[in-house]
Amino acid sequence: MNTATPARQRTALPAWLFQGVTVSYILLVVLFAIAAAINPHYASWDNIRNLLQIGAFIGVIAVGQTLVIITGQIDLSVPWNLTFSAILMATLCSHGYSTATAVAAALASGTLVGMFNSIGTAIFRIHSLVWTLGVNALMQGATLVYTHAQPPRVDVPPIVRALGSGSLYGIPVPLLVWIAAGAVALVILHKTSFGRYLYAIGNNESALFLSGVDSRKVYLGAFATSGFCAALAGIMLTGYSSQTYLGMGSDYLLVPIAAVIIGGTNIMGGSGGYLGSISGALIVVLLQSVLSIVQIQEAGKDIVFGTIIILLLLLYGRQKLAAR
Amino acid sequence: MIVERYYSSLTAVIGLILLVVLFVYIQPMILSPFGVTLSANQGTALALAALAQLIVVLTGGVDLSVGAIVGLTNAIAATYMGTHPGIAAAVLIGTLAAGTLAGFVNGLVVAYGRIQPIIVTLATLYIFTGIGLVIRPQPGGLVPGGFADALTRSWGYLPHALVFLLAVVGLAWVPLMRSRLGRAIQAIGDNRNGAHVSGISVARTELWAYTAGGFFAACAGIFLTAQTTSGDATIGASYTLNSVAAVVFGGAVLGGGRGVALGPICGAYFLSLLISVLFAGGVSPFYQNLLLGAILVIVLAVANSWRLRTRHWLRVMSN
Amino acid sequence: MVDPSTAGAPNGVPALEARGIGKHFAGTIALKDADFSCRRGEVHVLLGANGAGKSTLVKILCGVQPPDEGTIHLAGEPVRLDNPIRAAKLGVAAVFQELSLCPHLTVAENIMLAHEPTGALGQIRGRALRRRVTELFEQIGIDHIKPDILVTRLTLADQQLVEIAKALSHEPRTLIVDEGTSALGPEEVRRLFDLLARLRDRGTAIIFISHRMAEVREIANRLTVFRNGTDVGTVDAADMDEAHLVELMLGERIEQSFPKRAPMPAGAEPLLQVAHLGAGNLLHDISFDLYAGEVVGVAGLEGQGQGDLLLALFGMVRRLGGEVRVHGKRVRLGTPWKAIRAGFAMIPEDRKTQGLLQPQSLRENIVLASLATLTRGGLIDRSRERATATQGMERMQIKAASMEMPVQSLSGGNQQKVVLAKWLQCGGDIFLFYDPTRGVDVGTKRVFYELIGELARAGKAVLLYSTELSELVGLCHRVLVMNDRRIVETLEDDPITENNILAASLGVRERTKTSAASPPVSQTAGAAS
Repeated sequence: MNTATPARQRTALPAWLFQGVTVSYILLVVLFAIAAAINPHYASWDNIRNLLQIGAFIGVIAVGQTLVIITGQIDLSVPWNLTFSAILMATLCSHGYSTATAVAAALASGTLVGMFNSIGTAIFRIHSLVWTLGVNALMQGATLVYTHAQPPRVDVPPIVRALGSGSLYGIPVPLLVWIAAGAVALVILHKTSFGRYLYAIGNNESALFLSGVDSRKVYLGAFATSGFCAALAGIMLTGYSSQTYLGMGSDYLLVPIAAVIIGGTNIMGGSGGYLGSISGALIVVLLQSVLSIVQIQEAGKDIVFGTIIILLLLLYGRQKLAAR
Repeated sequence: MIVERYYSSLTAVIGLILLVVLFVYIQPMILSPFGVTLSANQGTALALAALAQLIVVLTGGVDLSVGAIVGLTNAIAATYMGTHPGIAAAVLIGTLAAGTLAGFVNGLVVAYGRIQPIIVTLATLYIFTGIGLVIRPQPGGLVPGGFADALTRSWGYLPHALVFLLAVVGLAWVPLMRSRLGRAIQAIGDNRNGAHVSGISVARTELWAYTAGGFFAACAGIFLTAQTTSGDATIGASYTLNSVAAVVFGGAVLGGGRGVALGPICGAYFLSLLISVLFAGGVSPFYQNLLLGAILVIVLAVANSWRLRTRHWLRVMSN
Repeated sequence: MVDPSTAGAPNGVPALEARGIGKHFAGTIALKDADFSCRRGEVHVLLGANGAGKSTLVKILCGVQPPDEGTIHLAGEPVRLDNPIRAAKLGVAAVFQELSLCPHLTVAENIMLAHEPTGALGQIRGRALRRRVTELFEQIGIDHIKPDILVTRLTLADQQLVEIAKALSHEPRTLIVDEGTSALGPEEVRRLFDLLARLRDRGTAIIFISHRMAEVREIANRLTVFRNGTDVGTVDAADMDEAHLVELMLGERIEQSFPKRAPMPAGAEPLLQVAHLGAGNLLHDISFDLYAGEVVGVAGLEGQGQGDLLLALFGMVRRLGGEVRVHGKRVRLGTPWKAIRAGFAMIPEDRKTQGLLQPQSLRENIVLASLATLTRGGLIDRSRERATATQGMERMQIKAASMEMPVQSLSGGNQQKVVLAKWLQCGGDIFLFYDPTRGVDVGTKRVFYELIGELARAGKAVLLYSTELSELVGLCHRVLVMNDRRIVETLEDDPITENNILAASLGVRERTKTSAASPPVSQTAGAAS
C-alpha cells in the first residue's frame, strides 16, 4: 500500500518548468514587473537596494531554515533565539565587553540553542515542530529572566550598526553578509558530504544510517547552523534598528519558512536548495512591501502569507496517498 | 469502560493532586470558595483547548492553530456581543460556528489536500490570528457582565467553570467519542491502513476530527472571553504549545490512537495551577515563563524517553 | 482444466465472478485481464509466486481498491465494490494478510469496527456490540479471548483469530482468507480449517490464499494459479498435480542453477567469531564462527530472529551481550559505523525503505557509504566520486542510461544491484545479505549468486539470510538454523538439503524419512504480492 506512488500528472509542457526553483524565479520577475508597472518608483535603485537590505535578514535566517527543512524538520525557535542572542550581545556591550566578545557570545548562544533543538529531534525523536516550539518558549522565558522584561537601552557599537545598516561602495552591508552566507550555504549543500547527508536524511534516514553515517550528527549540524543564522540575523537587526526589543523576533518565524517553501524546497525534506530560497526571500520582501503600499495591515500580511503557504503546499507538498 | 485506557492518565491525575496538596500547604486560603473558583477559572480554557488538541492528536496529527482559534473566537465574541442578551446569545452561537468553521478549513486542507497536518495548521495559525486581528486590532471589546458571571462565579465551592467544562464534556465530547465517528477517529490514529481496509473513510474522519477540534477551541475562546471580559486576537498564542503539553502530559500519544479526556484535562489544570503555585511559592514572575518552558520541554522529553531504551535502531528512527 | 464459470455449480451461477480485471500502480501492472470465479460451497485456493497479483485481486474483491478495468458479479448481479463496508454488506469480507486490527481498541471494538450497532442518536450501543461479539465467538468456537481486552495484549495467533472473527462478523457469503494461517500454530490451523469446512458446507464461498502446500492440499476444492497479474489455469483439487502447479506458477521452467561453490580454503583463519551474542528478547546466546572464503546461510521459519542476527552484527541493535571478534580482535558493535569499521557490510532487507535514496541519482547512492573517503577538507572530490560510481556500476553490471538517473526509475533487480555496488565500493570483509533476491528477476538473481561466490573466492566471508531454501542449498557451505531466536542446529556441507533445513527449522528430528510434507515452494509468507 504505502509504496504505491501516485501517477504524476503528465502535461505537454517540459518538466523543468514545474520545478519549484524555476517557478519561484518566474514568480519573482512577474511580481516585480507588476509592482514596477503600478509604481515606477519600484524599479529605482533606491527601492531595490532597500528591498535587498530587508531581504538580507530573511535570507540569512533562511540559510539555516533551508538546511533544516531539507532534512525534513523545521526550526520554530528562531524568534526568541534571535531575540535572546541580540539582547545578550547588547547587554555584554553595555557591560564593557569588547564588541568582538559580545558578538561571539551571541553567535555561540544561538548555536547552542540550535544544538539543543537537535537533541529533542534526533535523540528523543520528538517532532521538531513541537520540540522547537517548546525551545522557543524556553528562550522566551530565558529572555524575560535575563532582561526582567526590560530590554537594555544601549549604544549599539558602530561595527554592529554597520552590519545592519551600513554600506560599502554603495552596496548595503547586510546584502554583503547575505551574499557571503548564501555562498556558504550553496557550497555546503552542493559540494560537501554534510550537504549530501542533509538530502539523504530528508529522503530516507534509515538508508543513510545503514550506510554508516550518524544521522544524529547531521541533524546537529543542521540545527546548529540554523541557530547560528538566527543569532547572526539578530545581531544584524540590532544594527539595523539601533536597539534591541522583546518583539524583535516575532516577524521572523513564518516569513523565512515561507521564503524556503516558495523557493521550491519540499517541506517533507529531501529536495530543494538555497538558490530557490534566495528568490523566495525576495518574493516575500516584495510581497510585504506591495502589501504595505496597498495599505494592508500586519494582520492582513499574515493572512496572505498563510494562504500562500497553503496554496504552495497544495501545489508541491501533497503526500503520497496512504503514506501517512 | 475499559479501565486500562485510563492508566495513561495516571501521571496527570497524581501530578494534579500533589500540586493541589502543595498549593494548600503553601497557601491554605485557596481552600475558600473564592480560591477554588479562581483556580478552576484559571485552568478551564486550557482544559478545553486540550480537548481540541486531543481529538486531533488521536487521529495522529497535531493542531498548531488551536491557540489561534481560541484567540479568533475570543476576538469575535468580545467584539460583537454587545449588551443585549438576545444578541449576545446569537453571537455566542456565531462564535461557536466560526471556530468550528476554522477547524473545518484545517480538516479540509489536511484530509483532502493531503498535506502534513503540522504545517497546514502552522499556516492557518497565522491566517486565523490575522483574521482575529482584522476583527479586533487592539485588545478590548464589551462583554456583558451577566455572561461573564455566568461562567466564572460559583455556587459555594462549585465553580461555574467546572460545570461549563463538564457540560462541554458531557454534551459534546462523550457523545462524540461514543459515536461511530469517535471510534473511527481512534481507529485511524491507531492503524491507519487497517481502518481504511475496515471500511472507514480516513479523509472524512480526519475532516470531522479537525472540525470538532475547532468547536472545542471555540468553547475555550468563549470561556476566555468570560474570564478576561475582553477580546484579544493574540491571547491564544500560548495555548497551542500548552495544549500539546497538556495532552502529552495527560498520557495521549503524539502519533495517534491513544488518549482519553481525563488525562489532558488534569494536565491542563496542572500546568495552569503551576503558575499560581510558583507565584505563591515566591518565585519571581520573571522566572515563571522560563520554568513553564522548561517543564514543557521536560514533559516532552520524558514522554519520548522510551526511544533511549529501544534496542533496535530502526525502531528508534521510525515515527 | 475446467471451465471455471459453470461446471458443477449447484445453480450454475458463481457466487463471485470477476472478469477482465486490470489494475496498475504508477507504471507497474499488478493485474491485467484477470478472470476469477468462485462457487457457493467451495474452497477456492489462489496460488502464485510473490508479485503474481493475488493480494491486489483480494483488495479489489473486498472493495479496498477499485479496479481500473473489468467487472465483478455477485450471484450474477453486476456490482461496484468501492468500499469495504459496501462490499461487506453485499456479502464479501476478507481476512487480511497484514492485520487490519487497531492495537489500542478492544477485541470487540475491532471486530465491529465501522459497523457498530448504533442507537437513535448515533451512539454506539456498547452492550449490544459485546453481545454480538460473544455470540460470534460462541458460533465459531473461540472461548479463550475476552472481548474487552485490548488487541495489543493478544498474541499474534490470537490477533489472527480476531481478524478472522472480524471478517465473519459481516456474515459473508464470500469469505476471502489472505494468508490467514501464517501466525497460527498447528492446533489453531486445525480449528480454523474445521470452521472453514463448516462455513463451506453451509454454502459460503471461500477464497483461500496460502503458501503452504500441505494446507492447500488439505482444504482446496479448486485452485486457480496466477502469474504476472493474470490467471493462468484453474484445476479441481482432485486433479491436482503439484509439480504441474509449480510449473504453472513459475512459468517457463527456468533451471535455477547455482554457480559452483568455491571450495573451502583449508586451514583458514576464522574471520568472525561470535560468542554468546544476546540482545534482550531479540537474540539468545548466539555462537558461531565464520571463516574467510566461506558462505554461511541463516535459515528458519519466518521471524525466528534471523533478520535480527544480521542487524545486530551490523550494529543496528544496541546493548549487545556476548563477544564478537573479527580477525581475532574483539570489536565493539552497536552502531553501523562501528560495524563498518570492523569490516562488516550489509545488504538490507528492504531496498525501498532501508537501502536506497529513491529520488536521488545512482551516483549519489553508490558513493553514500564511502563518501567520507572521497572528501578533502569536507569538499567532495567530484572526479573520484564519478570514478567510484562508474566502477560500482561496472562491477555490478548495472544497466542505466547514466549515473545521474534517479534510482527509482530502475527495475527492482537493478535497484538491488545499486545497493550491493554501494558496499562493494566501500570495502569490507564480512558481507551480510538480508534476503537479497526477494522480488528480483531471475537474471539479477544469477548475478547475485555469482557475486557471492566471487566474494568467497576473494577471501571474504558471507552470511546469507534467505527465505529461498534453494538458495541456501545451492550457495552455502554451512547453514545455521534458527528457532525462537537462537541457533538450534548447524548443517554442515553434505546434508544441506531443503528437506533437512525445513525439518531443522521445524524441530523435526528424523531426517531420513522422506516426508511428503516438504513443500516445493519455499516459505515466503509476509511479502505483499
